[in-house]
Amino acid sequence: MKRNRLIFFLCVLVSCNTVRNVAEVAGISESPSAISTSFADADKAFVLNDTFANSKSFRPLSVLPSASGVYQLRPGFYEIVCKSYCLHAGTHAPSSGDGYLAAPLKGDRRDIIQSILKNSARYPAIKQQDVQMLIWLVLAHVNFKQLSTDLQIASVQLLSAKELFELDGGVMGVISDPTLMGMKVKLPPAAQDALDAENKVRELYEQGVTSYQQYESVAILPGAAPVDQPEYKRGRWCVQPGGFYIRFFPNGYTSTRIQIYVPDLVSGATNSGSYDVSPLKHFMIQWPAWDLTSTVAVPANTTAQRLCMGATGSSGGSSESWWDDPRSSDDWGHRDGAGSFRFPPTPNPVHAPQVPVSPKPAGGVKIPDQNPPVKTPGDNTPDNPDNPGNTPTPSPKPGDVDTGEVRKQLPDCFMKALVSFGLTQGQVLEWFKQYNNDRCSQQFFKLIQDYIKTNPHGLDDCNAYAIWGYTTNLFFRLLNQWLRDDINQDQTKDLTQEIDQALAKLPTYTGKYVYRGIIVPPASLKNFLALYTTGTFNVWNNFTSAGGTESASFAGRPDVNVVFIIEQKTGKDVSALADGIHCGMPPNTPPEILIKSNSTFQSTEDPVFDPSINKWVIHVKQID
Amino acid sequence: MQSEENKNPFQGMSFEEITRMPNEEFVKKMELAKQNYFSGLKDLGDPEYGEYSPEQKIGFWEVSLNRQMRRQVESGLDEYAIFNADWYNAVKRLEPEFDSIMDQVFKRPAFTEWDKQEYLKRIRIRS
Repeated sequence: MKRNRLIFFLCVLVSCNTVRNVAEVAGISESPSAISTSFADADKAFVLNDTFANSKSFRPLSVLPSASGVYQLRPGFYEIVCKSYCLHAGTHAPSSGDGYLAAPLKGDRRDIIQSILKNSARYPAIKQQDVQMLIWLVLAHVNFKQLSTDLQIASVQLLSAKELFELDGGVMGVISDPTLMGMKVKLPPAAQDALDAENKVRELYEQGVTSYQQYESVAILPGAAPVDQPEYKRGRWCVQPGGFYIRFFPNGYTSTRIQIYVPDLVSGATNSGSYDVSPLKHFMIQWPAWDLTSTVAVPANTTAQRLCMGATGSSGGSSESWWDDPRSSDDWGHRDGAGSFRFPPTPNPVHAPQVPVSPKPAGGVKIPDQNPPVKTPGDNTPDNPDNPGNTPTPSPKPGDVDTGEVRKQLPDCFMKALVSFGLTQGQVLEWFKQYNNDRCSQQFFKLIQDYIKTNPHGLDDCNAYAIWGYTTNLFFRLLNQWLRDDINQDQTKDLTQEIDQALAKLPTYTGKYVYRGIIVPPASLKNFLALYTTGTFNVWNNFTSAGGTESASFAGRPDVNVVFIIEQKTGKDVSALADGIHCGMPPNTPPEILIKSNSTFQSTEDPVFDPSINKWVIHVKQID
Repeated sequence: MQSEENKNPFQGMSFEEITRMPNEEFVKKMELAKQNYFSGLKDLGDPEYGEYSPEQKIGFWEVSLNRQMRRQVESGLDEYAIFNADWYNAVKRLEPEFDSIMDQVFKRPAFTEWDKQEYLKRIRIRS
């Protein structure tokens, strides 16, 4: 124990010195701006007319997969209304004529601000005003110890221990007022004004002022900002790394509507007329990812507000038909902004009251229940617009479980893996309750327990739940996406490890070949095929499912244009734990083959077109 | 002799020649091959389909289409790309009740993942 304390002390010491050094190396003595993003950082290229897409229907951005404010974009038009925050005290709030462009969040307190923005979505109970206040105080270099109790509590929720250390005397906290004043004289006038405003914010705080309005009056100047660059109009589109476009419509400084246009690069509709084939290298189409919280809306008018965005917002979207869609974003777990993981739709609407989450019995892994329970389609709680008439709750059927029972049944390690992945405990419990009661006809927990008791291959309960979970719609989309993109390893590692462990324990499928069909966008198909010429190697980072026979793989004759005939080496028959086999009606035909993630395949011959099935046939052999 | 619908648009070409072909020409050949294939489609990939009850038919489409859409998602591809006008017209010719079957399919548990409006949009498009 003493040794651990010593190590901790040394770490703190090193961190302290490191922080000071970083401050020096970063030239902080010349630039005291905690957030330095400015209009100069924006890509100002005129890429699309301001009127482009004005008549389009924008879908809510929340329909796209996301985690912690990072959205995996797909072609189309999207919109989100975010809580936005002032990043530039001492400037004017946005007005209806201000043109805004996008620029990356930069500066010495970038990570702290970004943590606040990301985590504010996880703690919707923290008021927007408190989040804004905390941002202003961070920008004004107020020491953590000087914060009010309420703001300290908010800080603890919104920031990591390392970030709190930095607020508690780190970086700017160790720079004296005279030093700051010395810095000021070296700054241009606009930056001096900002520093003055930040100093006023700090003075107010030191005087014990608690009124938000007083801080706002210092930070937000009255009236509209003078227009000094009229060529940048409201609604100006700007291009982003990754080839998509965004534009901002601030409404005051507290709310901003953002529109996103993602062109369909894969189908060949690029601006340049060329085809983007590089993503196909990894047997997938990589759409760009966009981190909402790392994007700053910067004004063309130099005395208007810079705005940063919270990790989630209301959904946006202007299409009537979209809102009428029963699968609109509110049904996907985003109603309260809690958590930014797109929660998959539950298997079936249910009419059950919210069941309090039961605490885990002593000795289990303690998993924080950070978010309120997910509202599900058909939820009949009074504020649910899906069920304005409050349809009476039907009686439970034999075998129905409540969330308390689900908590008892789900292994701690599996729950922990799902929470690490980004789901909340409440979401997991609700999802499995409905999965058992509706999708799986009250049989899921019985079937999987029966399997665990009798399984001949030594899968532990976590392994079994992970495989079964993979075959549902709970997490397979985002897990595979992150594996392909090689991102969010901290979130994927537990689930991936459980699934791969399970696959390693199962006996290898006895069939030599397995079959998998896909449809590649026609415009990209030729280049895709070229990746599979004889002898080439391709790594598939995601898990890969396949059928045991070619005919079973193409029942219904779906329009697929590529079939992989895979000479498999580690394919495992997961039929005994497959959703489609046990809960499908009628059941899928076994076998259901799953190949581990990160497998390498070598092409054994050039692709060949088979007109009798209208598909390109690609023969590959699994190497590992 | 090869029937018209099964004619290979790349007959006699090496793979290298195919990869050197202008992409527009390749896409056109594939489009033609697809139209020929679906216009000549004679079955739905299950020899017992004709004997299925209405409920079994709903299950057949639920399972087969859900499986294929999951494959697309696993690979990071557009899951709705499997639906287009050529495919739809061919299926409708072989299964006249297909629309009412799909109405039921979209109510089934496996299809809570998928968007009926998007499906309806895609089956009107010749891709």
